[in-house]
Amino acid sequence: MKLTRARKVFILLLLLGCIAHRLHAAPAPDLEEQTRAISAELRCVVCQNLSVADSPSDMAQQMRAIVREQVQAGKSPEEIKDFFVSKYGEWVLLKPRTTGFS
Amino acid sequence: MPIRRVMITLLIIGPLLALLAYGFTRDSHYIVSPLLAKPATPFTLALYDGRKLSLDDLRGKAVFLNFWASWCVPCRAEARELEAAWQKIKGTNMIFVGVAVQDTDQNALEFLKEFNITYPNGKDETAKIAVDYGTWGIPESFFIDPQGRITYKHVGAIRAALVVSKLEEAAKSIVSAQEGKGDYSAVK
Repeated sequence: MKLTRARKVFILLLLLGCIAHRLHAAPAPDLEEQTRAISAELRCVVCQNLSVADSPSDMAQQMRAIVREQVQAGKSPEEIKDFFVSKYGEWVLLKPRTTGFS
Repeated sequence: MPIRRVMITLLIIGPLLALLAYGFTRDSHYIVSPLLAKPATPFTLALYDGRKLSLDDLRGKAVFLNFWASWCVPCRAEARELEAAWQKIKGTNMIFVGVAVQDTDQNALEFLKEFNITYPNGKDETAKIAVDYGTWGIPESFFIDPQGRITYKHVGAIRAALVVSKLEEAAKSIVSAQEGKGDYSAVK
């Protein structure tokens, strides 16, 4: 089917619009922001009344690095928290999950 | 009537006081591990002798995995016990692996030399292995059966006799009902 000039212009404009939208799409959340947000929900195993985000301990620093690495690998916040729970138990969450009568 | 009031008050307050007293006997810092009877997370360790050791390569053996640091006092207290236990089981189907955490190479090597430790030891530079095993206080020891399952965990210094007996249980894949505890230092 032979396209009219108007249709060609329309398709071209549509394509340009899609490209422009992609280029100006909202940027992915900052890596450090994501790391901090997840770390803030984890309890430091050294300074146990502080979050991994706030604790100055070496272990917290190392835990933050693990969180950062997992964020970069594309893991979701829930997957990352599940990872730490699998190693330290529910205790490692600053806000325990609600189950049963809790 | 007053006696009845006193009795009722005691019946209410008594259990609360008992609960409070029980709370004082507990170690508030202690974290109970969820890893007992679970598969041991694979790792590759850079040994101080230049080799690399992988947990997967040890499949088929009972493994004693010990996390330590040269600055940790209970680690120093158990060091000779561990070497004694190693000398006892060396050549059998059991192996010891030591993992230094939060330590410098120099201090770690001096520690190994001071206590004449001869079994394989390496460093966990990024604490990834320590986190994979839910480490929070050192020394921490894990006993892994030939199929790669954790059969016992001990937080704190451990005696040679317990190491040997728990390794023998691990070799038979006998999982302990609960973890054990000795004197420990919190990680930094």
